[in-house]
Amino acid sequence: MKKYQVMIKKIYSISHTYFLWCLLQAALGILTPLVLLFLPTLLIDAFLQGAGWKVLVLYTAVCVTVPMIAHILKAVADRKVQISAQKVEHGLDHAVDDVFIHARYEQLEKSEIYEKLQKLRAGKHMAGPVTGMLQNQFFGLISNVLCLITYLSVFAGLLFTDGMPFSPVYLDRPPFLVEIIARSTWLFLAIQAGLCALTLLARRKGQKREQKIVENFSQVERKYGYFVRLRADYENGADIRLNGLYRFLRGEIDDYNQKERCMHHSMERNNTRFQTLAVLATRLQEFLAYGFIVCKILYGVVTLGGFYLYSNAVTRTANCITAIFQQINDIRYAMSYYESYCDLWEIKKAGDAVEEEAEQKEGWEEKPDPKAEIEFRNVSFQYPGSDVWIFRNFNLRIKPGEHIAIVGKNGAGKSTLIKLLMGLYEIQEGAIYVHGRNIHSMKREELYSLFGTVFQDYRLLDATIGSNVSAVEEGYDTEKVRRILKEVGLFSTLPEDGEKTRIFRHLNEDGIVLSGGEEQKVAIARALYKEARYLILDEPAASLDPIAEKEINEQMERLSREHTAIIISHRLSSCYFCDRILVLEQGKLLESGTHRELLALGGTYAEMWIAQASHYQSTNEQFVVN
Amino acid sequence: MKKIFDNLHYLCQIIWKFDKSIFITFVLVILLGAVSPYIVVLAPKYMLGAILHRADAREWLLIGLVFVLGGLAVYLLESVLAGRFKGHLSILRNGCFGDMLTEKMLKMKYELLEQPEIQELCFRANMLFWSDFSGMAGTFDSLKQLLSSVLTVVGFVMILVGLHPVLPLILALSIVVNAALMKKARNRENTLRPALEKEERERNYLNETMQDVAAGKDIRIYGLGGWLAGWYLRVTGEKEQITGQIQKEYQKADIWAAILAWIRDGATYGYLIYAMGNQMIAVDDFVMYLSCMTGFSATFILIIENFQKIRQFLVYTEDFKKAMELEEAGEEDAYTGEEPFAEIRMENVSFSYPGAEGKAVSDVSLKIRNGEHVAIVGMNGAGKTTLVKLLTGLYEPTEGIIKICDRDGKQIHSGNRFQMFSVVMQKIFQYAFSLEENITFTKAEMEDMEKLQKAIKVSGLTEEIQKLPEGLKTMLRKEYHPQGVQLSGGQAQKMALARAVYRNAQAVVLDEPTAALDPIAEMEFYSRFKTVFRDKTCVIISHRLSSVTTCDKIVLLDQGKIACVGSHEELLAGSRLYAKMWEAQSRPYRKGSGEK
Repeated sequence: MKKYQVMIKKIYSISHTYFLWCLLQAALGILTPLVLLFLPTLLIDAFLQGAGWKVLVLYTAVCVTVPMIAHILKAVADRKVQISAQKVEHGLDHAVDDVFIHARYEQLEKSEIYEKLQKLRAGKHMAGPVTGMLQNQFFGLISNVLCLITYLSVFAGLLFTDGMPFSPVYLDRPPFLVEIIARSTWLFLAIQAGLCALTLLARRKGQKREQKIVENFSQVERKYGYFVRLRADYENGADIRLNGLYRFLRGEIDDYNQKERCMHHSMERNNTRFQTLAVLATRLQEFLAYGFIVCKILYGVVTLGGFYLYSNAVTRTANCITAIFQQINDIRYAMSYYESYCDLWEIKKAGDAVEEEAEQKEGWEEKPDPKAEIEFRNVSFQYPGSDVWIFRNFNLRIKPGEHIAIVGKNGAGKSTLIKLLMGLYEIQEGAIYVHGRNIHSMKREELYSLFGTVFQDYRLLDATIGSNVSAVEEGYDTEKVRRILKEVGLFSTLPEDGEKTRIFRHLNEDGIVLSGGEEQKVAIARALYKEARYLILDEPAASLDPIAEKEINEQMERLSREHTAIIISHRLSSCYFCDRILVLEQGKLLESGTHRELLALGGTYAEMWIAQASHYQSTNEQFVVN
Repeated sequence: MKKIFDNLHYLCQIIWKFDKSIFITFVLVILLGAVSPYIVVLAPKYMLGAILHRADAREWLLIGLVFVLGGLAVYLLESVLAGRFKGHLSILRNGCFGDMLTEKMLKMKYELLEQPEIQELCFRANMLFWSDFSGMAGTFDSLKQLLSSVLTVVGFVMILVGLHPVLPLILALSIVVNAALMKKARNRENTLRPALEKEERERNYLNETMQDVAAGKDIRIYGLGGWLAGWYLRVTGEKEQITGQIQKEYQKADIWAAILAWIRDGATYGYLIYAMGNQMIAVDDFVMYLSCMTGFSATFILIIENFQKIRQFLVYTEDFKKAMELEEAGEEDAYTGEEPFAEIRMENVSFSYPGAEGKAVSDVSLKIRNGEHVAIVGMNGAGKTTLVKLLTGLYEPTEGIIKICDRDGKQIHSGNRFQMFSVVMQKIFQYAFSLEENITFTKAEMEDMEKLQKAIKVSGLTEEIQKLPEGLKTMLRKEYHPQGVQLSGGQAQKMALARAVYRNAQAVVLDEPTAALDPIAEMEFYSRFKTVFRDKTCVIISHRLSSVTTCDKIVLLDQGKIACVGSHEELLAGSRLYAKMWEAQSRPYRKGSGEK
């Protein structure tokens, strides 16, 4: 129930008027059917009682005019609902964006958040949009309940006719059966209620069985979802073709189709069984109601107009009950997807709480090494949800202005180390000091502002180069952007309007497509534009050709002069000029020193260097190049 | 209108081929759906009539039996058949349409699949069968209701003719005017739709970017959140404004419809009262006609609603149709794949990407002898990967010919063509199958165990497998299996090598296989590679020139053309570009080592 509340509050905060218009829409929606139920009844009775033309015309006028007014007002409400519904949808999506932008980064890498997001996306297909659920199911439920109350009170009115004496309008003398039935409204209502319960029970049971079938199937369906994703990804497409995966996939898909067919057959059998029961009960209800009213009329206690009223009310009551049941189910079903919104907001809140708590913990007892710019002290870390220590009592000091290269085997923890430094993950033990402050007690924005980082999987946006480099949409320093673009050697290759050129073509046809190396240069330019205290590069040359790699190496040597810089690279040629090279292995600092020291040491670094350099050297002896 | 019929016809054709029995269910459901409203209209009339002319017990029994049994039969059958029909539609979704698209996407020419427009097209085609409530399933569900409603309305009209022949005419007129009103609003929507779709695309892009975990790092470090959020609000603001304009048109149409309905109902109800007042009809007829009229309005609204839904749901049919017309690769199938090929010859091969101006590869002639090790090097964007894709048959050359043991590559069935190559790409995909299935790409029962064991041994996977919880049966990818495993870069590389060995193709192609590996793993990879594939034809793309010096032949590509071919030594002496690349890459190592 709390989740419903949270959802409603959130939607209210996005659009204050949305619920109001929905309510109006629902109210206007039930007005016409009610008018069309009561007025003909009055009309028939008035006519049979020999009322004058005036009355009849008045009734007719009401009968058509009220629906018209309702219709016009509803047209307005419909428009308002449509518009505010769109606003709500946009707002809800953005509330998810908000979580992803502002939550603590470590939260994002939890599989939980990914699952929730998948669930929300699936929900859009499986249960339709949230606003659709609200308008059709939630407010539909409210109107149906109101209608049901009206119909039930109509029937309750019949109770008063029980005590009335027989009047010989249509019969001279009532047959015994007619008299009995006409005088036992209580019994009639009880039977009706019983049949209602039976219908609900049958449907409920059917639905439960159905859910079970669907649940059993969901594992299989997930697998199918995976195939769908495989076929849609063009990168996989190459792999699939080249490896002849087609036949294998074909087999799996055929297998799925077979299982799906079976699932639908058992759904159908289930449907037939319980639906049949429900239909039988509903029809019995209707038939009994007709019989009952006919007896009442024959007995002379209900008018002919009443026949119209009650017979319509019977059909509508049955429809109402079915709809109410369906709607409650639909809401539950939809909420099983949409509660993920609340979970996501909850995850973010938990992260915020951690942050606030950290901010309040001022005055840490331990003071950092005054000579170190960056210090890791007894840091221990494991990934959330894992029990493997990536780092255990890790210590490291980096001096101001020092250029550090981190090398090591795949999986040694190099990228993790810089992520810890930037506060993207929370460490379990120890402390990291940056510029004399414990990062744990810093505001995230403040900490982030210290780093210009080029990640291995950096992301540029579908916008102009200038915006990408400056990380703002407008109002950047054009001169500075140009200067930096020239520095990284990109400016000359750009079209005439330089930094105003858009990159990528998802959104705009006039965007240009950059090569991998050029994109990398934009990412580096962005890091430089930021003029942050620390420059961090994670594998900056992995996919570059030799010349571009050399350019970048040279630039790094030159550009990072003003910064404290950290470079991670497998290519030792990007590292050897650094002040200090750190060799990481399984979260431990294996070796540390200058290129020369490490070579002399003859350890892992020397081994790596020889592995890479040997080819270049052996030929070097035979050939002299320029 | 014609478009709707064409699309419906197209869908029906596909379904007819898939399962004809669906149509029987379809027709029966429509008929039964049309019958049930008559029960609601006629039952009160006969009962009232019976009351009015003081029917005897036998007549009451007859009325009761007819309505109870008739009603039950109709409703029960309808419910059962509707369930069956729904099941049919669900099976059609994945089993028929989904399958067609899967088949198409797996078989279409790779160069098509790679294009963003085609991916977009396939994505939209996918929408045709994505859900039970829209697309194809939605269309037929709505069509069922629409046709039932039409039959019902026809019946009501026939009843109403009995009251006065003009009445149905008035009702029909109101339908026409109503449709005209709606059309105007819809036209306005159609003109605004492209703008709306553009905003929506932008909105989706922004949502995806903001919700991307990898992008999350850049968003935080560079404070991109504010920019993205502002951008999002601007886009959604614009979109909401356009929607407002469209809705205004619909509101206008709706208000006119209300006034129209007022006139129509005023006239028809008025006449009904008049007829009853003048003793032309009795009370039982009055009730029946009244039910007919209200039923007519309600059913009529259903017709319009369902028609609009169908129009909307059918949109993706066009995309599906277009997707189905995409060209598939390789028709002929003569090559058995048994004979070892002697050589590959590229003769004046050129290739340009669809829609692109320049040539990605131009006028390349190259001979690769059996058992030769060939390296392809060049700057970023020189066309190395394109050349490899041409070689393996992922792309077909726009000009020139690729001969594989004297046969035109185009003549070889793409499946067989691919069979000739083992390709190890830079990005190694781990599929959510078991590790052994990831190596063999066949069902576990059909694997060649001997071959598999050999592949595992030579690729150095043996130790890695011992570390895994369930050895060869370990499922990969955490997202899909609770106990799934994500292989590390080095492990994945070994798995890729094992794939290539198991496959035992005539030629091996490596595209930047070690870009993400540490130096020692890289060295291990190449030494393993060289012993395992010593006798095979090999083509290697690499930026690290050190790994290609020992190749028999190095091909230097420059802007899509072959700049130079020869051994490492020959190229160093003969090509300025190669020498420059070599110098750029080797200098740091020489410098670094020299200082020792």
